[in-house]
Amino acid sequence: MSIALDIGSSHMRSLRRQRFRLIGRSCRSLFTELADRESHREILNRLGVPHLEINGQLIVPGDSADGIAEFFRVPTTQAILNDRAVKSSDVGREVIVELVNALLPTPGHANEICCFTAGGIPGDTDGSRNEVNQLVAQTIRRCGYQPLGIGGATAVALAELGDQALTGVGITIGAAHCETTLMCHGVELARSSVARGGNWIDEQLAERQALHFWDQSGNRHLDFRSARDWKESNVGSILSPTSVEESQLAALYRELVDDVLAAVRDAFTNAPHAFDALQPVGVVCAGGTASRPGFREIMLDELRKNPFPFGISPVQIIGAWEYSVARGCLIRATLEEETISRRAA
Amino acid sequence: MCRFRSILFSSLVFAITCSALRPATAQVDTPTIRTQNEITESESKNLFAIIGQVARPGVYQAPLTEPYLMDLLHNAGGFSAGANGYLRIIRNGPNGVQASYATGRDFQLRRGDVVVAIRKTGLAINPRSVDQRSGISNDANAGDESPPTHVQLAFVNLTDRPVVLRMRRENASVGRILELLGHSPNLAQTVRVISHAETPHFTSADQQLASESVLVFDSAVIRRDRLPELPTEIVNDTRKQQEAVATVYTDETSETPDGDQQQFQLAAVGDPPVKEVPTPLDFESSKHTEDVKLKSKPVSQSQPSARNTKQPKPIRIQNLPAELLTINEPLALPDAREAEADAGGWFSFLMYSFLTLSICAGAGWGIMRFVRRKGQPKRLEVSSRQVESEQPSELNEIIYDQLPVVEESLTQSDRLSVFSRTGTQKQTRNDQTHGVPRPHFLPETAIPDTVIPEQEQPPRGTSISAEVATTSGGKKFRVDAKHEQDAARQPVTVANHAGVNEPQGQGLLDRVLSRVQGAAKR
Repeated sequence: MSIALDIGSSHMRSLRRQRFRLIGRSCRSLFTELADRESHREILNRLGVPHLEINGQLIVPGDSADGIAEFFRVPTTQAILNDRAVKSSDVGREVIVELVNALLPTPGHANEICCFTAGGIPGDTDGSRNEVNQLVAQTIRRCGYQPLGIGGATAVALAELGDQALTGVGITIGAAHCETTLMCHGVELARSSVARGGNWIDEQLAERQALHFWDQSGNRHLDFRSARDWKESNVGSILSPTSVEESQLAALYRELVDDVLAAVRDAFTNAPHAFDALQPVGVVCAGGTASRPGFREIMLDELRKNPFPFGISPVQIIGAWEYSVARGCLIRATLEEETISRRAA
Repeated sequence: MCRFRSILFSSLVFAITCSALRPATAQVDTPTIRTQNEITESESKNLFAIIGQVARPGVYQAPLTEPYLMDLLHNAGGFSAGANGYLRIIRNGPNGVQASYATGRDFQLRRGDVVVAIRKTGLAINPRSVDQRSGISNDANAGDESPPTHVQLAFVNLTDRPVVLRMRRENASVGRILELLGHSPNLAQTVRVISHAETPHFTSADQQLASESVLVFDSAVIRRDRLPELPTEIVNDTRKQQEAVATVYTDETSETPDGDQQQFQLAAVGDPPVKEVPTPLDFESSKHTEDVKLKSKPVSQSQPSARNTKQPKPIRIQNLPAELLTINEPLALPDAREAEADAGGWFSFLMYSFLTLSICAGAGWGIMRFVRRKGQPKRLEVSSRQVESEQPSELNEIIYDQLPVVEESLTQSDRLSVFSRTGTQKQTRNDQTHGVPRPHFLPETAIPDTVIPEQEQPPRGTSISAEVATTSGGKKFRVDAKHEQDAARQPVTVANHAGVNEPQGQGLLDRVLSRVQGAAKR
């Protein structure tokens, strides 16, 4: 059996099939750093929090990082930022390796396919053209799997356009970046990526609302966490803002959608292989940022102003998006395994 | 059994051979494309245009079923040497769908689609290198320095069907075309131009159009009553069509000794299509197919009664400006195939025969193999079927999201201890009576033996349960010498005065809890 690995900048997820169900594992792809003091270590041990000790720092990766950061009033750091492992030191890389190791079980057989989302670079199927992709591919190989990279948006299209002959546009609105793909019968024809996402909205909100916090050393940091909490607690539609903050939020969403669609249009227009489907094609959009009420209407509005160079059917926002990308990867991995087994036969 | 095999094989060979020996025209008919005689008048709008780098550009007709792109391409004679392998499809003009298409996949066309076979980059259409048969340039002559004098154009929304034509380059401007069509050149602003690798755009009335451009007219602006009479009739019989065309052209030429029409007449009977003073708009596509036939079979010899043939009515080209003489009529798809089959002659017959024999051999081999497999043990057959049937359904279950996703707790790798210190349970653990809760993760791989410093080991005799020892990192943590390890895992119970077994050695709260639970169970 094959396995899927969704390497996101906010979460990492793995998905595999076990008889009549899919088994998923998930963890946040961030970490927090603590000074290597006896008291810190003791607290971490007592809480049973797994941690790393690197360069005189205690590193708490994964799901525990947020709680620990809040407890100690220290900032959290994303393990992956703009398709790069944060910091040139070993910290970000070690965190990614540890999390991938934790997400992947022991392979069932030799050279089992592990399809992972290779962010940023199109066609980076072996993970050789991007730092994170390379690292993830190495780790996957070390775990006994055979890595196969695809784009996140491609995975969404594979997962959600099954009833439309795997033809249409897949969009992921992620935390760090947004990806788009134009797929025709399962083949990716064009792809675009924008280095903005939910985190950018949090950052802008924190900046505009002057949300800061001070760490134990007295350094001031932008309080993304508060901005994100406010954004998530404020569940109203962004179409009808009732306060200045909500207006700011709506404007940020609109700006993000505008950027994404502009990149999409450029990519589709300049694609070396343009589109061959003549019927209106489906557009599926997945991601935490896209699941906000009013997002679909904003996207439709922007599409009305600047339409795609081909007809589209109504935009579909994926409700249960958490494992959507991973499921697309699993489909790709299963297809690959089938092809290999057919060749072998 | 052997007799049955031979009978079966012989009958199959006979059937396939009989079908192969049918006329070649019947071979090339596909289920989706019917013969001309079957096309009724109500279906006459099922038209498709193909221009650009194909052997026979033009407007093609299909009966009720909409053909596939490959059918249209096949009937248009396939790509010419100058094609880059890509096709652009224009449907419903710029407000509809446009797309480029790379060969290798097929899909169904819709009525009125215009297909443009895109030429290689840097390849100019040179009229001097025009193929006699197709009327378009050859790749070998692509590098000629002389500028192309003719362009291919397609019109959409001008009438209820696409129109394809070839015209002189100097006349290929939107304003001039509108003028020829009986409209004001000022309407050029309403005509969108879709040219190679460009999005639809408006051009000025005087700007020269590139070859293989598609002009999308605004149907609200175009007045059809002002248009010159465009060919609308569908000629149902290819042979009659040839005769009629030849007749009409000859007649018209003889009736109106116009210089341009003379050029046209020369082109129609197979002379080089472009002379020194060609017409502004030149005949395209279907005529060239007919040209080939006329060339191979001279009108006077092969069709002696052609001049007397009155039906079906040929394409009328009355009231048409001399420059617009060349707007082509629809060409039915079966005609093109028939033309191909005729052109093949004996060679195609031999090819079909060879193909038939190959198929027969393959079929025979397949039948033998099938019969042999039937004789094999049933168990193998069942297992192979299972494999075949299960694989696609497994994938479909994932594609159509039919499997529930169950979240599993994260398995933290034990390699974590490489970077962190091993847990110093002894220093933080004060309560020696109660069991330590298990960590929230379980290492899957074997925990490596850890060398425990001597000073960290608890003194002998202190009661640390085996549970604690296990969770602390390995067997070396086991210091309880009084009990066996397995025995220590089982809670020892003693009966209290109420006769209820309660675990020994647990705290007060645990004992109270167990009593409450015991009471609840009872």
